Amino acid sequence: MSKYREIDVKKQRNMTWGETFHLCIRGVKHRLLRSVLTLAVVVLAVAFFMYLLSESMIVQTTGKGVAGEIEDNRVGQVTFTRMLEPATELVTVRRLAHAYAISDEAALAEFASVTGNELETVKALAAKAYDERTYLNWFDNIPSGRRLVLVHKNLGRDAIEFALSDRERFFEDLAPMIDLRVPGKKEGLAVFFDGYEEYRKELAAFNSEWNKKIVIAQQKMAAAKGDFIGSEEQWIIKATEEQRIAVQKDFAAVGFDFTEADMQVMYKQFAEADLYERMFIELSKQDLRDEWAREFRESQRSSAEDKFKQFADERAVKMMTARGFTKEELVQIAARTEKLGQLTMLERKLSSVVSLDDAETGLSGRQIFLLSISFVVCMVGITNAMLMSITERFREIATMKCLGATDRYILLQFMMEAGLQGFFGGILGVVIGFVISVLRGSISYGSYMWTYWSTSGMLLCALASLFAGVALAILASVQPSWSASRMAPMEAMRVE
Amino acid sequence: MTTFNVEEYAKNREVLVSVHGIHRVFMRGDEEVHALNGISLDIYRGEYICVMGPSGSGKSTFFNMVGGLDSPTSGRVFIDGVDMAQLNADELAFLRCRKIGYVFQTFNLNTVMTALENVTLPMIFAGVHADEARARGMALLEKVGLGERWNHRPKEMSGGQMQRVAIARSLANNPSILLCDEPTGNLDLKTGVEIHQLLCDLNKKDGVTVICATHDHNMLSVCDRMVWISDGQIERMADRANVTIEKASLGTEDYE
Repeated sequence: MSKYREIDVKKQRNMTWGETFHLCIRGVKHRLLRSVLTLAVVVLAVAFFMYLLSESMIVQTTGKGVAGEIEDNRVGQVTFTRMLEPATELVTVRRLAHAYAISDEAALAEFASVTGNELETVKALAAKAYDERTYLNWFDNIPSGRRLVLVHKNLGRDAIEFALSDRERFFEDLAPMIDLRVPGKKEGLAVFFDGYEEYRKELAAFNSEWNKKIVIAQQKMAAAKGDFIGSEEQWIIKATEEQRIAVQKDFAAVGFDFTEADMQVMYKQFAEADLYERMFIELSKQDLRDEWAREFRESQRSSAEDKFKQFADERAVKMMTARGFTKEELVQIAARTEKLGQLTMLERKLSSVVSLDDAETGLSGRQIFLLSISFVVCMVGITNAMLMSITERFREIATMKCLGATDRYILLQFMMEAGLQGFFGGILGVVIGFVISVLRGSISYGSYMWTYWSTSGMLLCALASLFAGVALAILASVQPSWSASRMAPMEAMRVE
Repeated sequence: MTTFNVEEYAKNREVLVSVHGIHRVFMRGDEEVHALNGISLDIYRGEYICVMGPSGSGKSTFFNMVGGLDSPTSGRVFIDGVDMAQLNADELAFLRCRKIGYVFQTFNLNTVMTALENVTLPMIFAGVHADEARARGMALLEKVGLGERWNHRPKEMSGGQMQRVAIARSLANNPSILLCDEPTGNLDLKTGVEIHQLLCDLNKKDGVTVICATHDHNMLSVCDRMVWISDGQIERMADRANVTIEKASLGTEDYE
């Protein structure tokens, strides 16, 4: 006992990140097959994630773009209706709610200037209108059995009023329907109910204020039109530049957000619509249909819509010029018809996947469900792969501990390995998901996808997917790495 | 048979590893298994000691205790004056890294690394600079006669060569103890003799303390002292003088 020599035992030093990384890379490089298999799981999950994200983004941006173009094509008519047709309360609710949802400052300012209210007042009202629209939609979308219980056969505002007539009973009926999602929860609905009566009064006052100005606009229009026979639209087409400007100034004086340029657009759209109308009538006439069928040797007579597609043909040009249309007009209308056809088709396609009304973003419930499933599967896959990799390296880990590896180092090395696999698998997955979504997008939406392409949005999707991949891999490896780091070094002595 | 005289043997020797009445109890289901039943032993610096015993005798458990890989249920183990029970995980790692070299029956080389990388791995753990580690690693490989093959991976080497690399690796941080668990168990007779010779050289020339668990009788001719363990206790001890005499009878005894 006396012969003991004192030695100094310190804590084993911690490996630097660089050393750990270096050793980790070497391990990954030499176990390429195992790494690639783990990688494949990450690749699949991230590709799926990226695909969902980027496709949803393509749909959003293209959808918004297409909706905007459609809106632009109708802007003349929409403005015309807004200024000259008295609005019902529900129309006002819809307009306010829409302006609120997409924070359309110009539209809100117009409401303020026409009705002579402060902008803040209009904004507050618009927010309430948005709530009303939300609850109107909600009431109408409650599954019919429960709706019958809650509001009997009432729909729309009748439903809200019915619920309000006996609030206590309504909330009692609602209480057991725990899986029925209420926007803003029950508290939100209660707040909405509390303010409903007052809101309706405000809205009615607002609406009648608005409609008073509409009557003024109508009077101005009638005065400008004088004894012209035909509709207001036709007058706008026939009127001189000065006359149009005068009317535009009148409307602007009422408070509408209506500039000279807006008038110009309205005039052009009306003229084009009128030209289309006249051509359509001409194409529907019996003598032209007969001549058309003869010239094109068609066994069956094509519809008027189909004939627009043949406008480029010499024979069609001859026939139409003979009836007083110029070649330029033919080209213009053919292009318009084609474009509108495309837009309508796209709108139909897009509106089935995304709401084009408001700037609603994000993934649908179904997509989130798919995503969570894929994440769970991926998680299980990676954890399994990591556990396998650790079982396989049982002896190696134990030996390293005999050689002086600390628990922390083993933990770090395995986590790092998983992180690397997550990173590289993530990059590959992002590329694959991107390619698939772009391919699908270009098949569905063609050039419109590129017109409304958002590189920054796509980059964000890619980063999010990559991050998800790395996080997933690291998360899945926590348990296996932990158990590896706790392994007893004497396992190295075991002989199988 | 002459009795082994501990007092005589301990004269002029310095204790390196000291084991005081260790017990080790495992739980196998609800049943208690007493792997070690109070072993006390001093191992001296520069000694070449062989631990022998049939499987299930507690030899491996004893080995793990001496190597700092396991802790006893009761009793104490001192390595170079340090009470193993006082050390935490990181300090144990420090000790394993610098004080003890391990040689395994199955070599346990890292298959994805070259011979040199395997040898320098414990030096990396100890924080030796890469250049110095390389130089020292090469020197160690030359010492075990594999200087030419530093860039070979384990699968390109024979069993004897792999064990040489493993011995070089165990010497990486100049340990005071070399712990060999059946180092020739997976080797043929001829290579086994070579490995013995290497261990013996290291012991004699460099003064490394070698603790060796073995079944191999060739080993006995090079060791200073032998310890037989059976049923978790030291059955008997003998020094080399007695070993040669007993060699013949030993064979029969061991395989009874």
